[in-house]
Amino acid sequence: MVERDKTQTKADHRRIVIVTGGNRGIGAAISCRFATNGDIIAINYNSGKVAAEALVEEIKAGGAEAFAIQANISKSEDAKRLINEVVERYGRVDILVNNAGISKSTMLMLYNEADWDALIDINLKGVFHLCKNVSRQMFDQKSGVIINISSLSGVTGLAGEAPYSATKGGLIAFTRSLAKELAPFGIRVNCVAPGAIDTAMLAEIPESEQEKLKKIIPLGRFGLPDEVAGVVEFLASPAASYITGETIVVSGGLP
Amino acid sequence: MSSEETKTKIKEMLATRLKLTIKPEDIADDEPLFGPGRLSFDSIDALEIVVGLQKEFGCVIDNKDKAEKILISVNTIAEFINNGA
Repeated sequence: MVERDKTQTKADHRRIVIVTGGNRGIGAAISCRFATNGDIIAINYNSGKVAAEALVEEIKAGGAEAFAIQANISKSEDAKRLINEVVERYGRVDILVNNAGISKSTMLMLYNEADWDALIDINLKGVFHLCKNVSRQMFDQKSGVIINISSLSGVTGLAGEAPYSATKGGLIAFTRSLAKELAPFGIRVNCVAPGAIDTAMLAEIPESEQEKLKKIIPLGRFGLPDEVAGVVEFLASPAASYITGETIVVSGGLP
Repeated sequence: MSSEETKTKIKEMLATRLKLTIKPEDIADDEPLFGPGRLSFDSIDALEIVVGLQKEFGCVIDNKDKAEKILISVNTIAEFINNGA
């Protein structure tokens, strides 16, 4: 058999970060966290153009580099274009944060099939498209970090959220398998599972329910988006260089 | 690009990406890339070739069936590229 030359090495570089749904809520906090580190952020949005552009301006005003990219990640061509555009611009992708997701809470007996399909399309198929495309680039680099934003309901389950929990639990299983598949190529894949975080998604719950929820959280309050972003930042950092395939729950102690 | 030029580029890509210790020109056009034989590339090498074809030729192989039909020899890869993959 023909022998291989194992002496070739790679050069140092700046970090290029893609955050899907990076224009609001937890995604915006993640974008800002990376920006404060001096990383270059591609903020993906689907319909929230105004919020995305405002965040880009805010980040630029702080001295970091960011730009907004529209893409409906559930569509194969859009996901491919998103990755290609970043690669064409910067030549690489160091970190992909699959944060974009939707939620629809209703008891299963009243759940629309169309809502189920929409959840699968965004929460799971979108991640599939992006990971498939970015893994080629990261394989070429022989480095990269993918962080999937799951949910506590994907770990423990939650009444009224069976389909949402299914997508978020699926994301955890997807993460575990992909981590094993990509580890030999220097690519780490991890998950963050936030509990009740103070975002627009949580605000959809009636106030009385929110109060009940707070009472069962051991830390007695909702989490802040930045408290999730801090864990994402850690997983993307060299401090987490020996962590892959894991899910970190950020829930204030909520089981 | 002529067919011969394409084949030369493919061989260079294989030698560089797979860190081969043989010269690119020593790979025969119809030499099997996988299975028993001198080259005997594995599934990881296949990924390296797929990414190499995308990066260097702009050719996307996005599923296993397609890969199995194309990644047979330098000849079959060149045919794929020159047919406007």
